[in-house]
Amino acid sequence: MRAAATPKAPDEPLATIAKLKGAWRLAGLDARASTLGLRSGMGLADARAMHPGLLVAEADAVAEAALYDQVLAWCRRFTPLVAADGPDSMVLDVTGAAHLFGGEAALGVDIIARLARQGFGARVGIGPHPAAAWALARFAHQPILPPTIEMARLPGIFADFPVAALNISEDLVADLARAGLRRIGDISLRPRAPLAARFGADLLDRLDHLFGQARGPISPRFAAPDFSVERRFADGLTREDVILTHVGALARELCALMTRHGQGARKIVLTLFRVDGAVRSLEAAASQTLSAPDPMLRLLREKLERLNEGGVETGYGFDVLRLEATQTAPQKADQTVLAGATGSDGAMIAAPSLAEAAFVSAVIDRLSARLGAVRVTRLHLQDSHQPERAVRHVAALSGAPPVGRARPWRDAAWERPIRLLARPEAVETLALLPDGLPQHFRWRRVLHRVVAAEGPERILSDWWKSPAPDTARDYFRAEDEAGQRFWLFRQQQAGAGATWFMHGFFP
Amino acid sequence: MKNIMMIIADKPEHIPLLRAAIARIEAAGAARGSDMGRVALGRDLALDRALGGGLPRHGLCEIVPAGLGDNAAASAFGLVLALLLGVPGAVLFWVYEDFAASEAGLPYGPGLWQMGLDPARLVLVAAPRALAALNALEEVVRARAGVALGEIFQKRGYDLAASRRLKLAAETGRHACVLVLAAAGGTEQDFASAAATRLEVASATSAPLEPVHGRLAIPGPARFSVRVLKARGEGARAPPEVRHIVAFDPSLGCLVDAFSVAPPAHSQDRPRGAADAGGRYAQSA
Repeated sequence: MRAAATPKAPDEPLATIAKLKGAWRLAGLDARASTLGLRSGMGLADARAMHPGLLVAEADAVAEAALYDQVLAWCRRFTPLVAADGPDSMVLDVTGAAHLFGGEAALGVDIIARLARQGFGARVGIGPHPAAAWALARFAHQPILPPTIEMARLPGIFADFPVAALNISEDLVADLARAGLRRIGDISLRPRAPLAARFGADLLDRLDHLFGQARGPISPRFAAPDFSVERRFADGLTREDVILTHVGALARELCALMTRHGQGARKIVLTLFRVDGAVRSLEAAASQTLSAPDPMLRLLREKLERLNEGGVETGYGFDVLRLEATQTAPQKADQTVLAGATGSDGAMIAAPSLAEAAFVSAVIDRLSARLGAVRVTRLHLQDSHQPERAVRHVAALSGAPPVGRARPWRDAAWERPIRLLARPEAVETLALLPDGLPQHFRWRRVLHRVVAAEGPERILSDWWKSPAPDTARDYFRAEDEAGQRFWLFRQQQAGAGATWFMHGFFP
Repeated sequence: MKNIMMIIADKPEHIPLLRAAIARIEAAGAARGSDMGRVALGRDLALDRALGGGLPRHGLCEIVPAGLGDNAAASAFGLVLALLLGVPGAVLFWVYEDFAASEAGLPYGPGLWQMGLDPARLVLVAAPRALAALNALEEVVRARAGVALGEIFQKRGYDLAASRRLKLAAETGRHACVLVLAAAGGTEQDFASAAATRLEVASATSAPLEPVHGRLAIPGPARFSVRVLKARGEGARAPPEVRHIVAFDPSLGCLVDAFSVAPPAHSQDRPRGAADAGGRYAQSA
């Protein structure tokens, strides 16, 4: 959309072009261009011949997809159930939501007006099911059917629609036209078996969908939240403290709603809809179920502070704030989550008070919200001999390590370092002793002389896991003159003798 | 009390409310019952005497490595202090800068267990920068969540103001905060901060087991060489030139003096009194 950046006169047609089979062809047209007899798929040379003043820009599929996603996210201000449908259309399930906007007709007008303000032309069709809405949006003069309409009346209403309203391929439309079938009424009144035999069963499926005799699923882009509260404002909110006040009120509402159902939130999403169509979602997760507004607000504040960093400025303000609990759990005591209540071998150790456990999980939640969940971790022991695979960092948000299932820590028989390098680093060895251990080695450009050592301890890789296993490693615990203690290992390289690596440190 | 009884008589959904009430009562009790005393690091330890009876239970303690190679020892000693300063079973938050993990390695569970720290009690926080690490530390101690061990490489963001924030947070939250300043080794040990204690830690040679048949000796238990650079509070007397060689005993759960007997000194280095005493015994004999 490069041309969009350059100002153009309002009456000049604009089109995007894409290369199709080696030729430039029109891809998308603006309103003015489509009234001039230009069609998408037309060759660029033909279009230029018809209208020399046509402005063109190369189509940018990535940017268009991003724009589509942005509009799709924006549509969530009308209903939580929003589904993508083709490159230029969307399905909104407004069942039970239309009355909030003054009925179906008012909702349609509202959607068109708001999209027009953002610079998009739109058509809206509202029908009793997705296929009907699809046909109404494209081919109807009166595109809104009341939801109470009887299904038996649908064949009569759609009888005069062209067969393209069945959402079938252009080839099939042409085939049907060749057989003289141009209207839906032409098909619906004919016997089904010959139609299915000639044009495929899909045609009749589509017909059933349109008449409401079969229901197709719509796959919403965003999962429906378990609990949701929202506030709408006539004007956009711009001041951060005002936004925060209303978010606090929403948090109290959400907590009251969840408490009534005995539920608490594990994950909450705050969605801010900006007046000009931009949408910003802030997600926060908690290690224990949240059921009080204050901790919820503290988590959201961490995110709100960085609202302006993400490229979305407050701008004209946010006019819809919505707070959703997307993941919930019953509000009950979960003993394994109480941090430190049991040791890793299952024995009770001096249990910190209930209050302290709550403090711990609150801090974990806040730090996870601020730094990201992968940065706040606990150590889980794995069933592996390979030292770097034996310990896994697991997000602390997912709770304390399971007791009993993992191998207890104390099973580690030999002395192990307290710190392990993420990747073993090569070591240059100078003089080998009879044991095979170097007398001197150089690591990170510093020379160390070994005065005491213990080893070797041979550790085999998990050969049953990786297809091309490393060779065995011989680990040594070595102390240098200054008292620094290292965990070194020797690995036999094929044809190149032994190579030495630094892997960890002892106190 | 009547309210609580009514709640119990009602639905199970009210259990969270009860739980919150108990948590509030407990928190108030903990605030009243704690003392601002000192924690002795060992039994009859010279280092404790130099610090004036141990380390403050709620406060900030800085650890600097003596040299570039002493980072592992400094962070291990920091871990020991954090263990000793926390109540048994309390959660330990280990906050480290990303650079520390690439330079000195990630904390490794089996080794920590052997050192006496149950990894189930440990929460690791990786901060992208030193400033983020300091903020996270402050958050942890202020929120009374547990003992905090911090490890930062960039000393730039750590100044008088930042250290005072940490110290006040630790005192408000009634938890200790141990900060390892990994880049502050060598000549950069003298910087202003509000911490009550600053220790310099180096690795010390262990007493290796005797070599057999020409093989190398086997390393003995780990030892630390600790120098007290700064100790505030009454009773603290710490001549900075004294090095304390200590070892951590996981079974006792405290530090022990590594040299129970002082090493023999050359005669010309002996204090005057010792030489006199020797002379007197010589005469009487």
